[in-house]
Amino acid sequence: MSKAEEKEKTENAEKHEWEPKIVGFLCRWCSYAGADLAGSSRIEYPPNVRVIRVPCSGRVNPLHVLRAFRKGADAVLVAGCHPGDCHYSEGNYYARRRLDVLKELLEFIGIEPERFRLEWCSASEARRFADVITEVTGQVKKLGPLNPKENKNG
Amino acid sequence: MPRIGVFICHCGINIEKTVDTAKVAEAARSFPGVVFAADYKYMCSDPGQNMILDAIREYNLDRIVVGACSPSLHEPTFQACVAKADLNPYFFEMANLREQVSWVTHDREMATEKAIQAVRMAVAKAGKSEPLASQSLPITKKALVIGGGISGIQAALDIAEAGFPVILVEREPSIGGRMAQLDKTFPTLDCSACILTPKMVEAARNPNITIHTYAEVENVAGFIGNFEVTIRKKARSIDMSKCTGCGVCYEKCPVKVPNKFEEGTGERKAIYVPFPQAVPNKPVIDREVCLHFTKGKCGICAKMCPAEAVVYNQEDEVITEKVGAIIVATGFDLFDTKRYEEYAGGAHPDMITSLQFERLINASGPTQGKLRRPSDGKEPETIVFIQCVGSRDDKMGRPYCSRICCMYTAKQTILVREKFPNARIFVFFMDIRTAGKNYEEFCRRAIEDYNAEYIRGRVSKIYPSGDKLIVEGSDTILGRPVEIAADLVVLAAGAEARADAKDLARMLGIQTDQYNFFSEAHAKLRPVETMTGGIFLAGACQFPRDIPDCVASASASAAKALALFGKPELASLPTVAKVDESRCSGCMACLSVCPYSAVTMEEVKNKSGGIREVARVNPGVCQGCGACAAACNAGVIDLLGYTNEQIACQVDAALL
Amino acid sequence: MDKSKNLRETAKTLLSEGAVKSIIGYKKGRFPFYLQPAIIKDPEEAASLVFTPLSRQNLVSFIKKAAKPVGVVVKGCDLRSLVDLLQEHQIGRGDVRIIGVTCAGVLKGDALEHDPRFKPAEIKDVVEDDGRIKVITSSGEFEMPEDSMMEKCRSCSVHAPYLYDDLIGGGEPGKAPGPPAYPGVEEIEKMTPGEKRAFWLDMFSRCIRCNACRQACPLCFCEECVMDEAKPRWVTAEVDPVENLFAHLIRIYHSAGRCVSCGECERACPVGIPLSLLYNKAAKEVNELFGYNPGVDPEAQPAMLTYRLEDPECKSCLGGRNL
Repeated sequence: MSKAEEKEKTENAEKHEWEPKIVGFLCRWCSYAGADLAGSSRIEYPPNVRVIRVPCSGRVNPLHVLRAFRKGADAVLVAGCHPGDCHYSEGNYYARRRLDVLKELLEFIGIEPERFRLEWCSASEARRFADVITEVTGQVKKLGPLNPKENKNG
Repeated sequence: MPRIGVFICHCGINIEKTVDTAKVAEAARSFPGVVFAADYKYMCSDPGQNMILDAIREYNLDRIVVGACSPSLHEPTFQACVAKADLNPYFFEMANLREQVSWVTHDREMATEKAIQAVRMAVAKAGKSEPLASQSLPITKKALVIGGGISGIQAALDIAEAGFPVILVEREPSIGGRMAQLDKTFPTLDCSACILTPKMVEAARNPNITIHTYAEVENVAGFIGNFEVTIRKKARSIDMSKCTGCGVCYEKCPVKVPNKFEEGTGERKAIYVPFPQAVPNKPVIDREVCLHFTKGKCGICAKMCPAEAVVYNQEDEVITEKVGAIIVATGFDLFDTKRYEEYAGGAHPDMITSLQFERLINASGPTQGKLRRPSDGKEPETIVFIQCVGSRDDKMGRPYCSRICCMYTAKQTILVREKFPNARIFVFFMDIRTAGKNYEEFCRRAIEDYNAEYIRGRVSKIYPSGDKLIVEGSDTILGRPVEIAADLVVLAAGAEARADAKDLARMLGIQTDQYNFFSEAHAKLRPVETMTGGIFLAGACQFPRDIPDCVASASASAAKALALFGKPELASLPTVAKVDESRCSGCMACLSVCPYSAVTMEEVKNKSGGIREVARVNPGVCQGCGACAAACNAGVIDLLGYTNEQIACQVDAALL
Repeated sequence: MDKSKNLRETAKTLLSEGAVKSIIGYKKGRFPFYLQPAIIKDPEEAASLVFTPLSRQNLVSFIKKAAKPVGVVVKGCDLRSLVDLLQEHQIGRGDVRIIGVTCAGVLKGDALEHDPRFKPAEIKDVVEDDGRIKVITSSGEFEMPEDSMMEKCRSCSVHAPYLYDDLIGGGEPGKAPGPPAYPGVEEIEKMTPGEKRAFWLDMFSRCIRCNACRQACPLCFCEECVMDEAKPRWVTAEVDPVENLFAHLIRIYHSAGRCVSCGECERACPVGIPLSLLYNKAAKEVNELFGYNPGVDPEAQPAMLTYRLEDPECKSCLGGRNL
């Protein structure tokens, strides 16, 4: 195999490497704005997150998180304003309670903790947003796909 | 089946550079419900918008999805655009292909793939969208101000001067509040009464202001623009229309009790005017101590009154008022210094609070302004001021700084020095906090020109010895213990929330912080609004504030009320929560988590004729956070514009 | 004291004096080894009520359907679900007469069936005698071993109810219970993620989606279950281990901060899925994270409907830490 062929082969392999699907619920006031700022600041991060814009992390119904995993998400991220900064004053505190419990339940049925994440990310924390996505993507790539149907043995 | 049109913007080269927009449009054509898809250089431009309008006509589109920049930028632009074609603005969805795709992804293939996903999700959401509309709500252009201290007076005056009626409710017999108790004010040393009383009189004279003193707000119902408040006017036992305020009645009253206005340093009668400049300057009978009420005898005041204004059998009067805005200006309480048991067991006649000091040095106070030791009436030679009593003290549950004490203590040292040129004046402090216009200069004057001896350190113990109080502390700068034999000790009591603040918060449906001070809607950007629309905060009920800050916040809250009154009517938010009452089991989880008290419990008739309780959302009050929709186990309450179904469809589309 | 006698007298008085319109209790079933729930309205029917170590079922589930004011026979453990219903406005305190019964424990569903000492057909009665459970059969009396009692009874701290209007069986009123034990939860927690998934998928491969668990749950009071909702359809009717597991996760999440570990779901499950493990896991987390013990204080706010500023941050999250 020539070097050029080899290079093409590795490039192809890289291109067709398995890419995790991450569903991100972002509060429109803080985290979604933080993600926008990452864009305006041209901070690159992996393209694996599919963003759902919600008014508040407190709007995120844990059933939607369950649905995401059921439908094949490899990881789910919920991001909202830092405690004390919620646009609606207290939505993120409710989110924290709900998702804390949900996370424990997910772990209990065998969904690794790295696959579900609640994050606080303000409208100014563009770098932090990009870093979170980068970190989650990296962690999930290491874990491999979560397909409860085919992946019975982990 | 909806007929969805998809428009992909190049944003010049901003999106096109990394996203193959033609390919995205091509992919969109296969999404369920999509009947038209196109890409264009600048969707937000006039030609771009016209393209949307033309397509709506030509293809009979009823849902529009634009893949372009962030919705925070152009969502309103495109909503207005579709409205021109008589489509409901909420039939529009936006996919963020610039900030969240092209600008953060360099690989063109991956970016294009991500863009296709984003558009697929927007299409899925749009397919489930429903028309939303705001409701028009009327506004009662009248304000209620709760609390007649300087903040309440200022807010009432500002609103009244703008031409709107104001009801000012004060629970004490006179307006004036804390400021009326003060002697001089920092940093100018002008007399508190001299600047306050004209305002009190102005408020009383203003035809737009109705003052109810000796009255309390008993209930608040309704919502922004449309509150209904119930006010209890306690029986004063005086016919206010007859009373001339001549004062004969209280001269002759035989009962003497400590005067709350004087912080217990002086006495008043059972029938009394709390202080000479009171507004209204008419007495009230304290029924708990008046002999006529406690023993059934006496009646001197009625006999003495030349106007026959004493009415023993007067009853409380309950009135209701409709108002559009409420300003809460209920002020603060003083920390109970008795909790410091290491300070002479909590109490000693010669250990007074800073507010008692104000009364003792005030010319109209119980000593006519002659500062004497309460125990024996001697002139004090050594006076010790102790700061942070009930401030910045975790173990007392008061970790916050009360903000006013450094300045008033400096002022009090100057007042002492003016009376006693030879006295020794000590101040124990933790830090001196004098941020404010001319504040630091003022404090330096107290130290340098008035020779107040400032000692940095906490006082650990105070105990009586002979006729002195021994103050033991440490000087943490010099690192040595300090012991001072004082004639008078003044404790700079911190400010705390009113003891009943929580009750009022509940009545109003507003929030309190961990110290029971009322919470503002946003610490930085909405500092005088509460989370409940139409209710604003003024003064020290929100956090300890000095007079200039109180006045500023009062005027700010008045401006907020006036901004509301300036509108012809209110438009409610369209994306609010909605209850499917037929499926509601009335568990009231939504009510529990609603930060705005927008949910109420209502009784409805069952199919079988029985009564059951269900939740109902007031769309005028709801701010659309959706906490309720996530709390409802049955999915009965949902958030319009972000419904469970819409989000579920987005999730599904994201994972296809 | 004969609890059944005591109960009948109380029930009769309550009904005849009009203090309640109906009473939910236990009566003998067709066979002497099981009891069935009874809703009675006539004072004369009170004579049919019993309370024995077979009074397993949590009768609070029937409360919404009964004519109010309703008297309900509750064990200390059942009381907790009633407290939750009070918290969640499903019944007013004035509409329910709490007929508390002191209870030494009840038998497991299959305890009598598998006892080698006697045949079910020989059983004449099951009684509690001084804290012990005795089975009276045609071939003699047998004392039941401790492990014949339900799991929750063996670690029970609420033998006597702590909130009641009438107390059957005498004795001291109970104390508000601490958090229950969460038997078996730790063993699962120790598994690897793969083992957990395998374990649960195996368990839920048995599920036939009969919804008996939901039917039995005293706290499933929604007018229409979210799982039956069409917009969106949260669960499909597909009987598949993964779908089954996720369908149950919805119920389990909804139980958080409310579930009082009564075990009715597991008791009702016809295919023996250890549902309590999941519900107890949720209860355990709610307790550990927020210090909340459901079904104790009728005035308290259920854990998921409130918050504290100092609630713990989500474990894997950065919680303010910079990356």
